[in-house]
Amino acid sequence: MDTFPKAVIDSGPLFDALVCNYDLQRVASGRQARFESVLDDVLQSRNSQQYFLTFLASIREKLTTAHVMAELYGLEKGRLKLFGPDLHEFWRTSIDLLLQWRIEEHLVKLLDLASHASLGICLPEIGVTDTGLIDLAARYGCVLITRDARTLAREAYVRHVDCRLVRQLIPSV
Amino acid sequence: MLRVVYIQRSAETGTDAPRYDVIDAGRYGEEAGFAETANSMTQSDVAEWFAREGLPFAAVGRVLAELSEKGTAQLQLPPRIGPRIVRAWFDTVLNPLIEYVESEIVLLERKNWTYSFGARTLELIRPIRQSFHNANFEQILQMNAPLSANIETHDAAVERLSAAVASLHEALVSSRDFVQLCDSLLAPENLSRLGVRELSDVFGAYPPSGRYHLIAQYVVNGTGELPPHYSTARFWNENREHLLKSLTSLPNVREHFASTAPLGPHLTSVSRTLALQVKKLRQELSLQYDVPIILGNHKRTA
Repeated sequence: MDTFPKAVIDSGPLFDALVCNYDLQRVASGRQARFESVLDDVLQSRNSQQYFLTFLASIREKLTTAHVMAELYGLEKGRLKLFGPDLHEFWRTSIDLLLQWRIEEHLVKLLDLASHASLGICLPEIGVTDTGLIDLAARYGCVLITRDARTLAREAYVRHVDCRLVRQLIPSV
Repeated sequence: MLRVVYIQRSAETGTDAPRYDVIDAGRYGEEAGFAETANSMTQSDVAEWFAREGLPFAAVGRVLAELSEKGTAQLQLPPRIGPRIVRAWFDTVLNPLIEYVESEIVLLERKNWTYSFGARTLELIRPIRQSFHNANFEQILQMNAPLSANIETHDAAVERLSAAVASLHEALVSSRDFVQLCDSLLAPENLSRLGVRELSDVFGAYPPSGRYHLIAQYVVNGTGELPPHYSTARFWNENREHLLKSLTSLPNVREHFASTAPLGPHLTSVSRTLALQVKKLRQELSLQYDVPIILGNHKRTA
């Protein structure tokens, strides 16, 4: 498995990872998987889900932004719609995984981005979260992992940030 | 609560053998489009209908007299269970409850107590009254005393198991022998044999104080082999059997383990009885009120 020493992770793949982890734990404890439908097309099989998680785990330094972490809450509310014990289990398993992965949460400030000569221009077009991810990947000189080919990846390519789509990272299983 | 019923003489009948239309407007009123109408009933049909709906005998006579005199009457009846209520019970209580209890039975059979040291509770084995607290749930319990009693029994058994598992976890993390065992397994030479460079490669960002708690959590839950995306996987999978023996080998811990062990099968038995009872109730309601257990767009149910 090819890996990266360091990578910035967007909310799409990070949320997918949490959902894969949650579903795999459900299956491991004798229950049914529930959320294949919310995952990226390439993550529809148990093998590809496990490959994806193992791949992310192999990245030694995993970085993201506080904006991405904040988006996770909305993604759960909008896509999984869990409540009660299931909701608590999802967040407990997710926090456990994020702790084990030592994910580094960086604060990228809107006003810093706005005053940036180059990034300030794309801020109104792609928003603070995506601009922050490009800024973080550029500053650390590392790869940016996303599901968003249309907006984030395109803008990252323009700015010579090495951006990889999830579907490029998962071999067809 | 209001349930209004109108009775009026049918337009096409004469006064010598009158027939009546009964309009049961329910709690929402005829205007809301939910009224049930029974047409062209004889006076004795109307009397029988009143009796079935629980109208007292004296009131039946009074209403029939009023009908004979005026050709129309209006009365209030006690509210009743109907298909709308049953649908709501299925969707918000009975179907989720059956799924919940059956999932709980699977976990109990695997002796996976789902203990979480952060919350100090069993994550997926919980008192039903806490997990299903809503007005529909309370309504069902008010109308079904045996179900209410079985849920009480279940919840008491959960509380006992939860307290026992928390004590078992506490006994492990406060056991000097267990801590020494963890420390020896986490010694640099043992880690390097696993290809692990440092403790943080095992525990990620867990603080040092949480490490023994996490291992003890794996032990009390009888956690199986972990998949490779967990940083703890290499350590746990290598030492799992050794660490699980702590439950029966370490003084104080084994006493807690022995007192916890019978509580699982007891709760399993209680949960099985409860699942059967709720399924029977669901079946009876479905057939009595002609309400499907699930609607077509639901993917699955227990």
